[in-house]
Amino acid sequence: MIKIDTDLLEELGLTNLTIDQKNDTIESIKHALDERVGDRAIDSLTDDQVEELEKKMMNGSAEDTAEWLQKTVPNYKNIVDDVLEKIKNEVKSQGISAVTAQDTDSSQ
Amino acid sequence: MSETAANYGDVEAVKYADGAHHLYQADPETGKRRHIESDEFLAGMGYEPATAEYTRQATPATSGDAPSVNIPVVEAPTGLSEAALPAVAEGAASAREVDQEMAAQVDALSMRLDEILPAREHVEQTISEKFDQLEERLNRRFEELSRRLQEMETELAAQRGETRAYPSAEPSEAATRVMASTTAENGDGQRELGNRIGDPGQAEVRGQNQEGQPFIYRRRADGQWEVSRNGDQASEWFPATADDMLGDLGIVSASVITPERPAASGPTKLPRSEEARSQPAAEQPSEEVEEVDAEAMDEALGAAWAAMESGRSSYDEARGHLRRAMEIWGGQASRAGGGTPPAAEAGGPVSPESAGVTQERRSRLRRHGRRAIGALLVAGGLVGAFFLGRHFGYDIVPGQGGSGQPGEGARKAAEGAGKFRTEELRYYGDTIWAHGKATLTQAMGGKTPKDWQIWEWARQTMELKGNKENILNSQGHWRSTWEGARHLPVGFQFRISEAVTRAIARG
Repeated sequence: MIKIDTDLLEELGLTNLTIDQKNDTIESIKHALDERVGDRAIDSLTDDQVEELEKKMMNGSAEDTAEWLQKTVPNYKNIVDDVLEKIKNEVKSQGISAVTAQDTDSSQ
Repeated sequence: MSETAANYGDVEAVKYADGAHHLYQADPETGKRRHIESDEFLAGMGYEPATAEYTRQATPATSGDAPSVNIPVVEAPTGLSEAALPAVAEGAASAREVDQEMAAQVDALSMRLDEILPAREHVEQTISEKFDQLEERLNRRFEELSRRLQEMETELAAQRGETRAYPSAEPSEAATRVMASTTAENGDGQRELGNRIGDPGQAEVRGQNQEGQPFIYRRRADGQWEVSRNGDQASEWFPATADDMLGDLGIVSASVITPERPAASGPTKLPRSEEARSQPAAEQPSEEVEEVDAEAMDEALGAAWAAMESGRSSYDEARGHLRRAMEIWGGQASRAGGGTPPAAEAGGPVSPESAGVTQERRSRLRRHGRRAIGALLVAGGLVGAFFLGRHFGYDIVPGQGGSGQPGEGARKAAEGAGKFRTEELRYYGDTIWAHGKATLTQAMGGKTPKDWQIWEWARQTMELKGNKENILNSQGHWRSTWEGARHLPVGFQFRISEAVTRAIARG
């Protein structure tokens, strides 16, 4: 089960943080994870699938969209694990600012 | 208090307690008394009222103001008694004194009013003049500011390379040239920016960049920009991008008004990214709306995460938050102009243009939806399995597989540490809930666990391998709720996972 909590921060060596800093860091990691997984998923779609996803996004239900998404990106579990592992490595080597900076850059 | 000071015929002199004297004359027919003025009486009697001395005056004339009684003309002072004359004189003096005092007060008041009234008129006049002056100054200031604002708008438009289509502009170049000269901060280069409106839809921005290279940009009738770098010859034209123009103008970040969004249509938004800049301006949602959406998205996804991680409530909560995120996502995409390109709808061949549209759609999806997409996939192992039915999902959340059987992940999570102990309900009314509370209290160092922790502990404990079968055997049916577990028999044995206890105790 994926949990991004204080245990993960301890695993990353981020122990000397205030509660607010811990919360901010956890949020940053979650945010980065969501966005990077989203990027990877979009990259894996064909043009037709992109079009279909957009249609579902605007017209379909959340359940339909999510079901379609998980069916269309069957290796999403691996993507999630891979992205999370990379984020963890980045935080370990460069600190949380590297993740947030990259996250900001990639959003533009 | 009053007393009769004297009587003379039908005239009575009355002295009051305050020393005032008044004369009253009785009506010969009705006998009713009426007040008469003392001066009038004295004058009628041939005396000077001011002094009340025995000065013989001319024969008094009888007038309408005189007492209505016919006062006989008598030789004074023979007509008045010795007692009456001083009293009458005293009353007259008193009355005159009051009269003079009142007159003096009236005069003083009148004088004061005379002083006040002109001053008020003066003040009113002054205020009026000041108001006029102020109004005039404000009007001048307003005109000045308006003029300055117009100049600044013109300068900004010129710096952006934007052509303002003034309604009064004639097709003549000379008549419609708007110039703005600027000098770079370092003084290296000068550029003269001219907006010239020639043929409709065509405009020019010409000048010299900071490297001294001349440029002329023009916008064709179809809205595309071209640049020529041959100085005034302007013979060779090449397609120009927004970046070309911005670079020549020495502007770090700006946007060029595209034909889809004419200059007069409203304020220009600076795109946040290169990707956004490449999109037609009309398709970009306002940044304010995006910001609100982003906050709402953060909130919804954050709440979904919290619900997924805590496990304290039904996963409906997380599902609801994710659904909300999807709605926001859909709203963003709609505003961003999402849709099917005409060629694709018609089933026609994919042209390079429609391929561009597809690329644009992918960029738009990345820009607006990637976080929601990612969240759905990240959550796939948690909430996804729940609301997608029985076909997909991680099978990680204990008991959420939908099939009624705990999944592999659930067993691993619950049995991961491999440490269990067996307890039993020891008395009637003993419950798994009570055992959970005691177990968690001990694990938390004596701190009382919250209800949701006990609930979660009981739920996961009941779903441990073996416990569920025992419940089934003892009840004849599977009761997944801890409410049902309250009716388990005394002596019912169940396993407790230390891993589950530790995880829930940590919160």
